[in-house]
Amino acid sequence: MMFLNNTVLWLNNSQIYFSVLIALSISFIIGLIFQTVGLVIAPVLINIDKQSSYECGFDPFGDARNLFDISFYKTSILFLLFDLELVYVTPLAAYAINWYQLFIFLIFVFLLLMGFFYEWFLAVLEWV
Amino acid sequence: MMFLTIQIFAILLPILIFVALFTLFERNTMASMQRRAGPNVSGINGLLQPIYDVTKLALKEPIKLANSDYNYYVFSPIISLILSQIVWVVIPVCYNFNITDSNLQALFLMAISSISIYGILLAGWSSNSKYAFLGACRSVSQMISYELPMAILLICLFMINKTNYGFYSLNLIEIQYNQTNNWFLFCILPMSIIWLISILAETNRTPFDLTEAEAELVAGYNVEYGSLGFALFFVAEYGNMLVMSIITTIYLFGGSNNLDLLILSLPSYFSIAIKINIICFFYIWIRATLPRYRYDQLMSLGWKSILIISISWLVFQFAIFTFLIN
Repeated sequence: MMFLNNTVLWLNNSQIYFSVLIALSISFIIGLIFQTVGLVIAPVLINIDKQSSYECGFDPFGDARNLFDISFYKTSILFLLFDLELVYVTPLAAYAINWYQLFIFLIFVFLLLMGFFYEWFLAVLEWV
Repeated sequence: MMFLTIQIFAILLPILIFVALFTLFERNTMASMQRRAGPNVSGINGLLQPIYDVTKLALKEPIKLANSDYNYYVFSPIISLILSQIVWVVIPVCYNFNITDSNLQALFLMAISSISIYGILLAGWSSNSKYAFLGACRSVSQMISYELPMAILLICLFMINKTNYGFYSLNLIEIQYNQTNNWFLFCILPMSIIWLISILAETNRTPFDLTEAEAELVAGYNVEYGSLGFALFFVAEYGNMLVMSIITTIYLFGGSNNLDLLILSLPSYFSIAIKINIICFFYIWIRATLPRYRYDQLMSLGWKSILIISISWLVFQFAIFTFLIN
């Protein structure tokens, strides 16, 4: 019970934001030190072959800003939908649950899963 | 202000030491599992090996890539590091050592672990190399896929974590307090197993380390990084593993509650330290044991079984709670 003494009833978020600001500055400074120390103490020999991007043994051709698989994009969109769903469900769980909330929740999940299974049927989730 | 800064330093600096020693722990454990000698030359029984590694990395030449977006290229490791470090301000490390006390702590953890894909995405995109770009795409896709079961576990915890004041909260201290008699591991056992799988995928570890698949992609999103830029990514990755370990400990394994073994009762800091070490060992154990998945297997595991099981469990728990409460 001893740690409940300093528990505030509702949120004191300015405390979080301020601590995050301090931690962010500390780790930013650590990162900057890491990135600059290498520039100072390591030898630098300018060489055009070193500066080209990596390929397996031959000269790089083309650019990496190229076409990529559509499946990554589809996965991101599916993730957005499901994340929104979870954001909607979270407040439902926050208060004492009653039958009406359960009813709403079941309809919600039913609609969501119908959409998901339809996407599954359309082979959105296939990678090969 | 000054006290707060000192407190945050007292948490953040040991993490760097942890990362150094964790590499040694990992190499030694894997060496034992494969019946060979690990690093045992430098220092006392190889204890100075991480320091030598960092020194060697620092003496390597930092490369200015010709066709990269140099600013993003330099700052993306720093972003990764920041995002793996700032979560520590909401984690109660021990009963008497919690920097913040808010009901949004677990939600904050979830939010930051969502943002942490941006460091990887920026690194892969800005270094303008095909391997790095593919590695970043894979890594981000995998991390966002396995984030959904973790969020569902958070909702399950939200439902069972009732405070003394009568409302439900995501306060990590309250979560630990509610586990004094009974770990949440057993209350939501299927979700706990799913969580243990998801943390492996979320931190890009074996068997889900598809971003570093040496056979197809050379080293994943950090292939163009050398010297201390690579070290930053390394610290961020292992820091994320430590964060995941301590979150698992707090959510499921009772956190810093006293651990009552047969005759002796361990105090809170020993208890949480032992649990974190066991979960870190779990990471290494899995790495030494299991072979790597294929990417389509990984995604179909995530979307077609784990997500469906999690949603089913959420519905089940919601219904059970409605029956119990009313």
